Amino acid sequence: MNETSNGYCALILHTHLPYVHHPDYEHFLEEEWLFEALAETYLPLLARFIELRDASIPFRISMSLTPPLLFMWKTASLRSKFATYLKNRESLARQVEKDPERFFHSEESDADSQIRKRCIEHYVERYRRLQALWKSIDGDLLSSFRQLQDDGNLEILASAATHGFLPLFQRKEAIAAQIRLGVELTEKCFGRRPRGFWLPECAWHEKLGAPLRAAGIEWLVLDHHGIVGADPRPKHDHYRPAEIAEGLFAFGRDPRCSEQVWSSKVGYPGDPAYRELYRDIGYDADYRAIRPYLNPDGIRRNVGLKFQRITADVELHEKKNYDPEAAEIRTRAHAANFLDSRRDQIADLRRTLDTRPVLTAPYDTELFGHWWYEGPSFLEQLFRQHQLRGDAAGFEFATPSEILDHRGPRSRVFAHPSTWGRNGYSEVWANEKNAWMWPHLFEMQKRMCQRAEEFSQRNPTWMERRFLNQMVRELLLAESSDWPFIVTMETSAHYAERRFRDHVHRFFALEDAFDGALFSEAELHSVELHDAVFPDLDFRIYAGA
Amino acid sequence: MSSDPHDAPSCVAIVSAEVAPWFSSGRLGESTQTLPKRLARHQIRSFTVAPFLQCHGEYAAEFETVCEEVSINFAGERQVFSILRALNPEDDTQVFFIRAPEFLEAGDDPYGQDRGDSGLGNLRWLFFAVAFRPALRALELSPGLLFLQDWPTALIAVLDRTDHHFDDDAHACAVIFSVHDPRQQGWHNPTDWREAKLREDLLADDLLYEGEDLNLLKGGLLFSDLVLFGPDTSLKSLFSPQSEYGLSSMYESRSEHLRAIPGSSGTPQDKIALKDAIDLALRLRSQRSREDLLLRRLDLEPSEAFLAPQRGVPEYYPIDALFLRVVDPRRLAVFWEVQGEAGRQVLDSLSADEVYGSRWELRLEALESGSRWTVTVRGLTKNWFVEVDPGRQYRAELWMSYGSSDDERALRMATSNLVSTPPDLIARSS
Repeated sequence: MNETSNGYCALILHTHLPYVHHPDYEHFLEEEWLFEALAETYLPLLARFIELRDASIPFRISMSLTPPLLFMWKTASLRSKFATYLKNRESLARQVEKDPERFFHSEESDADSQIRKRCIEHYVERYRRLQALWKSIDGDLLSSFRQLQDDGNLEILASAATHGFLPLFQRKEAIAAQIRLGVELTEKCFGRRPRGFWLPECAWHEKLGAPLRAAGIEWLVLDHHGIVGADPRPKHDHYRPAEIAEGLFAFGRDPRCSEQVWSSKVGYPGDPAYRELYRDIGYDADYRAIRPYLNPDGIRRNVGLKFQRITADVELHEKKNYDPEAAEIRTRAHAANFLDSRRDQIADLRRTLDTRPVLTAPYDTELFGHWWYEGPSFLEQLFRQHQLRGDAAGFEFATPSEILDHRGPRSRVFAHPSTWGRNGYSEVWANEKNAWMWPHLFEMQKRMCQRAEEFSQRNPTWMERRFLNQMVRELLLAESSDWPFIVTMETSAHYAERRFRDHVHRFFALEDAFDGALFSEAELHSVELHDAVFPDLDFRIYAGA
Repeated sequence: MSSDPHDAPSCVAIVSAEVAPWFSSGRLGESTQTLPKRLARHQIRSFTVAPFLQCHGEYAAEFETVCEEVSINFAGERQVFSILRALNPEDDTQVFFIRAPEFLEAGDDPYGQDRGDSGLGNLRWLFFAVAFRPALRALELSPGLLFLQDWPTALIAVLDRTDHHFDDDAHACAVIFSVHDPRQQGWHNPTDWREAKLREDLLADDLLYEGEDLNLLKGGLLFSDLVLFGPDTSLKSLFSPQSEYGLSSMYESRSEHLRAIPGSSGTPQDKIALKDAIDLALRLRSQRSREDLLLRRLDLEPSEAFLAPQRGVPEYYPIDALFLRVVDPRRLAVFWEVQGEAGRQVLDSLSADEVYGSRWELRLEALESGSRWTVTVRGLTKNWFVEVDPGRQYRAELWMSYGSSDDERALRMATSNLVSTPPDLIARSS
C-alpha cells in the first residue's frame, strides 16, 4: 500500500445464496438460483479475475463467501447438475445461431438483424468459454478463489454459518455458534484465519462485539448510519475505520459509491445500452423451439439468453436489440467515471480532513453479472484503467486489513444499531408477514442449548451425537435470514416458508427421539443427506458460550 | 418402481496397499492379485486401486499415466496426485495407482520401520484414503462395492460414511472391509491425523481412539457394511476382553456385520463364501436405501417430498414467555407464548365463558420516564408491533382480564426482557 496516496477505496463483495439442495430431484426450480449465479456471476467474475492476474494487474478486493454457498460449491450432485445446465445453455445458444427464425418471428431491419446476430454469436462464445473454464477448474470454484487469495489479490472474509439475522437471536450461544462456525469454515477452506467478517445484512448490535472478537475478527462493514450515528460521532465520519468494540473496527458504507453502482435508476446498471434483465428468450421464443431447453415440467422460465437492452423507460415489448459490443464500450466509460468520481471525492475530503480518507464500497457480488450483466466487465475495467492512470489515479484500492495494518487516526465509538435493509433497521426481517417465524427460532435455540448442556456432561454415543449434530444443522438452516427476507419480499415466499417449516419440523422430530419417539436411523440418514451443511460440526458448540 | 440398484454391484473396486506382482510383503499382494479372477467367476467385474510406492519405480515401463493432475485438500493445503494404470497379469483387469511422491513414495518400507509409528508410514495411508474418492471421480468410475484390504485402506470406509456420506456415489456404494491379520495392525500417533486436518470428532473412544492412540482398524470395523476376517483370525478371540485390540464392546453391536472366510478358525455360523459376502454387504447397504424409500412412500408422494403440505410445525410451546425486540427506533416487535405450566393453570381455572370473554393486553412501560400505556391485542394472535419513542428503555407485560365490568379481574401472564430503542438519527442531526 502506497503511503503517499491521497486516500483509499475498499471494494468489498458479499457473496451469498441460501442453501438449496434437493438431491431427490433431477430438476428443482430453486436450485437454479445457484446455477444462474454460477453462470452469470461467479464464473464470469473468476474469468475476469484470472485475466487480471495473468496480465499482472493487481485487483484489491475483499470478498465474503458464505458457508451455505461454499457447501453448495462443494456438493458433487449440484456440480453435476450445473454441468448439465451449462451444456443445455450452450446447446440452446448454438441452436439459436443455427436456426434463428425458429426462435424469433418479428420482422427486423437489416441493422437490427445484424445486432441480433452479434448477440447470438456473443452467447455462443460466452457459453463455450464458460464450459471451458468450468472444465479447466474441474468444477472446483473454491480452490480457484483460494488461489486468487494466495496470489495476493483477494482477501476472503468470513460470514455467519447460515447468514442468520443475529441481532434478533434469543441466545448468545446461538450467536456465537453462527460466528464461530462461519469463521472456522473459512479458515478450513482458505487456509487462513479471516480477519474480516461480513455481518449478514450488515446487521449490527453491540452484543455481537464480544463473540466476534472471541473468534479473532478485527473488522466488519456497517451501513453508513451505523457509523455516522455512532456515539460519539466519529471525528472522520465514515471515512476512517472506527473502533466499535475492543480491537474490532467498523468500516462505514459510503453512500456515493453505493448509489453509482447499486441504483438501477441513477446508477450505471440503468444505462440504455446495458442488457435488459426482464426480457428472456425463455418467455419470448416460440414455445416449440424453446421447449427442449425448459425443465421437464415445460413451464416457461428465464434461460439466461436475453436479446434486448434497457433502451429507455419504455414498456418491455418496446425494448431494442442488445448489442454486447456497445455495452462493453459503456463499461469502459463507467469505470472511468467511477475512478474520476472517487479521485475527486477523495481530493475534496483530503482538503478538509487531516488524514487519508477511506471510501468503503460494499456490494452484493450477484449484482455483478446476474443483476447487472456487464458488471464483471466494469470491475475488470476499473482495475485496468486504475493501473494505466498510475499516480494520476489519485487514490489506491486497498483491503480493510491493509488499511488497518497501516495505522491512522481511529475513533472509539458505540456504533448505531443498523442494517443495510430498507430504512436501515430490521423491518425487513421482523414484520407482520414473518413474525410467526421468530418464536420457533427462540424455542429451538433454547432447546439446543439445553440438549448441548445435558449431553456435554456425559459421553454421548455415536448415534446420539449424530442426532444432536443434525439438530444443530436444522437450527442453523432455519436461522437463515433469507427465509424471512423472501417472505417479506413475496418473491418465492411459498418456498421460503416451506423450507423454514421443514427445518423446524425436523429439529423437533430429531429432538423427540431423545424422549423415545420413533425415528429410524434411515430417517436420520435421509435428513443428513438433505441438510448436509457442516458435516464435522460438534453440537457442544451450543454448550455454554 | 425400478429395480433395486443394489441387487448386483455394477463393478467392484478392490483397494489394497499391495498388489502382486508389483509389491507383496506377505500374502496380501497375492490375494489382491487373484481376487478379480475369483469375482469374475460370479460374473462380477472389478478393478483395483493401490498406492504407487517407491518399490514400484522399477516397473515404471509397465505403467501408463491416465490422469495427470488431480487435486485434493490435504493437511490444509492443495495437494496434487496423478493416476497410473497397469494391467493385472492374472486376468488383464485394470489396476490404478495413485501417485503422490511426497506422501506415498518416501521411505523404503511402506509401513514404516516400526509399523504404526508416527511419520510417513502413517500419513501415507491417510493421504491414500483421502485421495481415493477424488481418484475414482477423476476416472469417472462409480463402483457399487468397495473391497478394502486390511487396515491401510480402513480409513476409506470411514471417509465414505462421514466426509463423502452426502455424496451420491459414496452413499450408494457398499463396503466390505477384509482383515487379513489383525496382529499386523499397529496403534498410531494421532498427531498425524491432526496434521492431515481430518475430522477431530472421530477421535473418540467409541470411534477411532484406543486409549490415546489412533486405531485405523477400528474405523474399518465400525464403518464398513461387512467385515470379513482372514484365516488367521478368530472372531471371538479378537473381540474378547482379553485381546489387546480394545474391540470387546464391538462384537455384540456389530455382530450382524462380522463374518469370517472359510478356512478361518471362527465358528461355523460366522463363515461365509465370497459371493454370499458380497450379497450380504449389498443387502445391508440397500436396507438403508429401502428404508428411505419406504419412509418416503409412507410419508409423501415422491414428487411432494419437499413441498408437502404443513410439515408439523408445533402450534405452541409449553412455555410462558414474552419477548421484546427492537425493529427500529420507533417500533418494537412483541412475541408471546402462554402455554406453560403457569399459563395453563390460569386458563384451566377459568370457566369457558370467562376464557371466551377474556381480553388480552400488553402493558408497556418506558423505564426512565415512567410512562405506561396499554395496547389491547386480538385473541389468538401471538405477536404484535407497537409504536414507541427512540432512545428509551422498554419493558412489557402480558395481562389477561376477565369477568364482568363490575367484577373485572386481571392476571399477569408473562413479563418481557428489557430493550433499548436507538436514538432517532434524523432528530439528532436536526
